Amino acid sequence: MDWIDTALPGFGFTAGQLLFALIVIVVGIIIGRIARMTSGKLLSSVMSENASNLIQRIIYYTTIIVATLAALSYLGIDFTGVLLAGGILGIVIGFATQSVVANLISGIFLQIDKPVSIGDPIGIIDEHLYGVILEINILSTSIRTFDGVNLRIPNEKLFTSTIHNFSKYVARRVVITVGIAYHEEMKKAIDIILKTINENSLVLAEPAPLVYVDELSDSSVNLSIRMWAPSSVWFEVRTEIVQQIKKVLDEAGIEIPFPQRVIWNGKS
Amino acid sequence: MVKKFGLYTIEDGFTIKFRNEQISLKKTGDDSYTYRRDHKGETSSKTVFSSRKGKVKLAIYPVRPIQMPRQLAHNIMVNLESPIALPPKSSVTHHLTMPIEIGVFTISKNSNYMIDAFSLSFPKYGLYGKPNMGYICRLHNSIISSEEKAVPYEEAGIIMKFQNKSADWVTVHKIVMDAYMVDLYLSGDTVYLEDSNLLIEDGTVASLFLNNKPPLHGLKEVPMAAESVKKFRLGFLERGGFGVEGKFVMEHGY
Repeated sequence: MDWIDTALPGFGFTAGQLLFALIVIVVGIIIGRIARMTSGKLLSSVMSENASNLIQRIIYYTTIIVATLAALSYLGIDFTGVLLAGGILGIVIGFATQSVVANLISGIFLQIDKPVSIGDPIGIIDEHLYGVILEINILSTSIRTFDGVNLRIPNEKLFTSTIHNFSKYVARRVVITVGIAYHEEMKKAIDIILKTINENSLVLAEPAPLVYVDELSDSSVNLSIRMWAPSSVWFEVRTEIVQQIKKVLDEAGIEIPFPQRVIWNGKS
Repeated sequence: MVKKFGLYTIEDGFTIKFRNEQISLKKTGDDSYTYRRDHKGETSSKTVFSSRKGKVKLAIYPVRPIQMPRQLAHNIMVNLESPIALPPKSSVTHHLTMPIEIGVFTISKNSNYMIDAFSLSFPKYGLYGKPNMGYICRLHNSIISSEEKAVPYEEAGIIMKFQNKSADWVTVHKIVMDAYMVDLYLSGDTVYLEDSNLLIEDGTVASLFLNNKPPLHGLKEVPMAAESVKKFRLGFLERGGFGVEGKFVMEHGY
């Protein structure tokens, strides 16, 4: 066992010290893994899988870094110079990785604030992007746009954007405007539209749908149609109702006029 | 009236009618059948499945009203056509109704499978609470009476005890329940909700209790209840599962 006390040529420590330092690092890795598993079990019930994974990774790598620094310190490596160099390097890296860190921090805040969740249909208004959230990672978020394109958006951009979350609430209002000709009977049109809405199973009966004369516009009397639908079928309800209203108004002989302008020619 | 809910062993063909809905099972091969449901001349469902030794076991039972027109909500909101005013420290029992759907199941040794569900009533939905914190509910308008008045194959009877333990008069306009908690009972083809009571302890919140027992003596529990919510099983188990007493807190008014 003499080799344990043998100084390693060119280094200021013995083989035994090196072995001990390696053991410290291995123990650090094991502790890191245990801490990652334990925190995973504890956190999975209180936060999303993505947030839990992120925190687990931070715990794991922090433990390994601490163990490595402890091992190196044990070997007598002086960190004063390293810290100084590290400070300068840190500033350089800080500038270089500014956007990466910003995305990382935004990713953490996305997990805490939860403006969106996986599966939510959303619209990022600033970017004119619409789609469904597929994955929220540490640095970026994957979105499947409604036209079937996979989009990766940096977390910072997502977090600082105006986001429309279309499924955050259980119900959404559908608003449709229909213009009828000035010579048509408004009450008849309102009754027909209300009947059509009420016959659609997916339109919520409570809150009650509302149809009213909204505007006496240039070419038509505009009726505003407001109804609520479950968020999951909002688009389907909207498209169905627009089509049904056109059909029933046609059947009832109620004219939906084109924009028109009456031009009077003065006598010369 | 011929009893329609129950188990059927089919060897050749089978037809049964629930008002405008006709269910038929037609043998298309030695071990295969075609299932059809016709509604006013339109075929709305068709399933081909195989059988054992040429026989098929079919079960038709009432199920919770959460399948039609699609699985949108698992809560039921029963609006009372006439609100019930209750004096302080009083209780009263009334007969109400709630919607049901009819489930068609194939039966095998190991498991049962719901091949179809349909409703004889026109399903409508409503929002209980506010859009940001409410529930989408299957909506039903119920009469209030002193005796059972449920429409056969369309509604289940509710024998509800309303209890006002508060010191003020209260008016009940609606009851809301989680369909996962609901057990149904049968007497012939008449369907009943399990024993239930609505408790009002203060002026703002009412609690609906489902007591996991028949509301009347001699009723049998609908056997296919579990299969009808298999698709929701995860959420259902989180709420306690079958055979437990259920409680729904109506925190958005009653």
